[in-house]
Amino acid sequence: MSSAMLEVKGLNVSFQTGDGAVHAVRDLSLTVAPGEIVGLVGESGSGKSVTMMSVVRLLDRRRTEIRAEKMVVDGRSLLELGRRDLESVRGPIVSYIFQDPLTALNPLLTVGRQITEGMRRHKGMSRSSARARAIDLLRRVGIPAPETRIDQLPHQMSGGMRQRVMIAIALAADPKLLIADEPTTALDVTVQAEIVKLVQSIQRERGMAMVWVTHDLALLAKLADRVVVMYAGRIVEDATAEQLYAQPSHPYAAGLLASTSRIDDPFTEQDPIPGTPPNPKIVSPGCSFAPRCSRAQPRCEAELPELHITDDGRRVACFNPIMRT
Amino acid sequence: MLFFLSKRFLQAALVLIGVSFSTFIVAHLTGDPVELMARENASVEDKQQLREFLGLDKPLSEQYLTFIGNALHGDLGYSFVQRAKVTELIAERVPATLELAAAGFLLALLISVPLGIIIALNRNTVWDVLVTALAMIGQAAPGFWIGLMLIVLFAVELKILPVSGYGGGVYLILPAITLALQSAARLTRLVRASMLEVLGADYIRTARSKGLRERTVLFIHAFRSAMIPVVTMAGLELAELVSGAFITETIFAWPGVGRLAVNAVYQRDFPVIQGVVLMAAAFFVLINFLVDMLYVVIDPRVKLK
Amino acid sequence: MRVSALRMFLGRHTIGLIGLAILATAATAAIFAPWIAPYSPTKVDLLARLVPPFWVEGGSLKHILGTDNLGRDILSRVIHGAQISLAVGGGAVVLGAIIGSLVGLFAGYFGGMVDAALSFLINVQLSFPFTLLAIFLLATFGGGFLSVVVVVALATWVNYARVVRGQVMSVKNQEYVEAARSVGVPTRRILWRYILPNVLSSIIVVASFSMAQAILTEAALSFLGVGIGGATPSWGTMLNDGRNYLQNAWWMTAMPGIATALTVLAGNLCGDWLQDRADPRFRK
Repeated sequence: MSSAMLEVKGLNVSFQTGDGAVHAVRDLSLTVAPGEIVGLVGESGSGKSVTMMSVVRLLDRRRTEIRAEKMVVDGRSLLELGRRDLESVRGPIVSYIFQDPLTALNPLLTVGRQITEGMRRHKGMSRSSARARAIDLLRRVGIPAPETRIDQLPHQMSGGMRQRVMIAIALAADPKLLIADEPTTALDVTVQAEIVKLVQSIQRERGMAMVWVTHDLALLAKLADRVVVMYAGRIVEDATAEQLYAQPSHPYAAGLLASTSRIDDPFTEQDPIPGTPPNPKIVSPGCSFAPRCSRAQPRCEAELPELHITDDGRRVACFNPIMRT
Repeated sequence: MLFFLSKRFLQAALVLIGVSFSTFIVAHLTGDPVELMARENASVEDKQQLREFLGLDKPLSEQYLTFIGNALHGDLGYSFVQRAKVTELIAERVPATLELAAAGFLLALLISVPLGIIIALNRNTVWDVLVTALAMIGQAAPGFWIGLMLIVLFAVELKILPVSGYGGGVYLILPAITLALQSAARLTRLVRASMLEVLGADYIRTARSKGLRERTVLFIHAFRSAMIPVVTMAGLELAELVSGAFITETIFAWPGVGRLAVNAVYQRDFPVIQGVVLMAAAFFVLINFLVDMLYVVIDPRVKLK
Repeated sequence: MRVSALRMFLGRHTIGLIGLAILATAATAAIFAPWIAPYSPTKVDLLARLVPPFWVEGGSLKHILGTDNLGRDILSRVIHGAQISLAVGGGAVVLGAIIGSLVGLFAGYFGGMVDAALSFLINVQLSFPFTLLAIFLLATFGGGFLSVVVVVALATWVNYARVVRGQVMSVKNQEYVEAARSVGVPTRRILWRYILPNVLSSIIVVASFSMAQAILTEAALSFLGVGIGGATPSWGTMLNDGRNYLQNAWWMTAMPGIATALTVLAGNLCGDWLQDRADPRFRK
């Protein structure tokens, strides 16, 4: 499918650390259609953020090795791009909202400067027209009195407002694919809902494709068209939101859903998944989830389950998936 | 702002009083300067007269108050040995010391900032290891010894620079390098560490994610933040340089305040020592104040309290 | 902050071990100087004046590092000089650590007026042009081992005071200290048994850097002619002697300088290493 907004095939990412390499993402393939919202979910350390950052290579170049068979964004293959070409993709094509607006904004530059620099770079806008557009953007993301706020510094704003600024920055160059990396994790619960609503409405307005990286399955329920579940650097399940919330197929996805707090039923006892995520430095020949899995079979420890398409069209990597009841 | 200024002013005044008081006490523990000043065949009466003339017969507390009172009027007393006003002696020498310290400071910054940034950007390469190792050696070797070795190399062996003395630009080169090297070594390591820390910050990733040019990321987003700790340290280094100038001036026969002071120590010329110590302390306090002000310019988050 | 490239290059402990090895060598040289040194450091040989090191034309293996203006063997003098440098360094470190740690402990623990007064003291000390103060004191009260140690300790106690003060302020409000206070453990015991052990590793780190600083300071003072006089050579006095012979005997200045630089480097390396180990943030 060549009309995909993002197509990644066979992605492997590894980090050099003080004592050896860590394989953070293994053999990952993923497509995002134009206008589609994909939720990428997993525990911390599952490789979900690393996957999305490696798309336009935002990871430390010296310590990271990225290999992939295919990595195409909006018809452009990113693997062959040099630094300058990559810069022209960052912003107008792929853009990011990061987790912690406290650290993701430069403390020494006004928010106006931080919003306009992308426009000026990619759209060649004049100082005054960029400023006017930045004020419009600030208004759009729900910042009151944008004409005065634009000249303020990040530390003069609340956490929620900073994240709105971050969103304005991400939108500045009119991206076709917006990657939101846990954009609400660092915020107060009340602010979280507002930010989710805001991003959702902007996405509808612009029709851009989106990847929402999170560890919170509940959040994705109303948001995502499709949910991709990662565990220990691999995709274990990739299904439409409808399918996944009706019945997860992979035992890990099921466990994750069971341990998720539900807004409509907050008093039900949650069942956390027993055990801890595997050490990324130890590579097991079988399924990484097997030691924690209640449905594990002898085969699971020895052999790696391939990600395969099931009868109902989802992708699952499990020898003993949960079947529709 | 006004509150901040007055508070800092009060602090500075207190520190200066502390410095002057301890110098004063030490100076008077050292024995009777009259014995040093008077001619060898001077009679007891002559000496007593001299003592009275200098006010040395009064109680210590009164002498100190007189000293402070005069100092506030810009009078630091008379040199016992050189029979001249201390303020004039110091004023004569200040330009040479400032020239040397400014040259050394500028040189230290010109070496350390670019070098620190370059090795931070090329960390863990051969260059990084080499420069870091050199900086560590530079920190370890006595500054004055480096100065002596520079004399051997450039003045004695190569004969391209004068051994010592004061005059045109060529005389400034070796003393300025001597003074600068240790500061440069320390600052290079600091710039490197600071730059590395900033380059790993989330907001640098944000800047990259906008597709900014690499040089914009480095010089607009990273450089300014990285300079914040460097500014503090540079202020301390400047104060250190003035202190280091005492030895450097001695080695290179540089006619500055440092040499004046060192000679005064050997001659027990207390008013001169007192004056120089007070001036140096005042300079230090002033530098600290300027660093604080510079902070506000660089880092808008800092509020004056 | 202090992640050195060298450390990355050579592995985690190599650098610290190099530092320790140099210090151990210097200590051995100091202790066994009379047996190691080929000559007496004070043996004058006017027939062999200003002999260059053996690799320079005119030098010989009889005097590996050459001789000085009185024909004294430089290698022997450098070996004996280690005694003074290390003794002054060690003495100043012990004295400075005791004074500085106590000041920091009291200022940090009691806060309020005590802290204000002691911080003022620290500020005054920091505002002094130290070199001048030191030569002033030494010229006044006379040199000698004890005076030099005291003066050098005066230069370094502030390092301890500042670090310890900061650490104590963060430790003193931790729960186990609060708990000890609430059950009536006497203040002296809290300071001694609860607080001090927590700041000890920082004190050791500061001591390591201060050792280096002390050796540098001693060299500078002796160079200015206000250090420890007497027959035993120190690296600083050797530098002072060599200064008048820069024109024709550079080795007189070069050798003691190299010895000083190496020892100071070793102290700094150990400091870096200890700091990395003491601060859990640096362990990755």
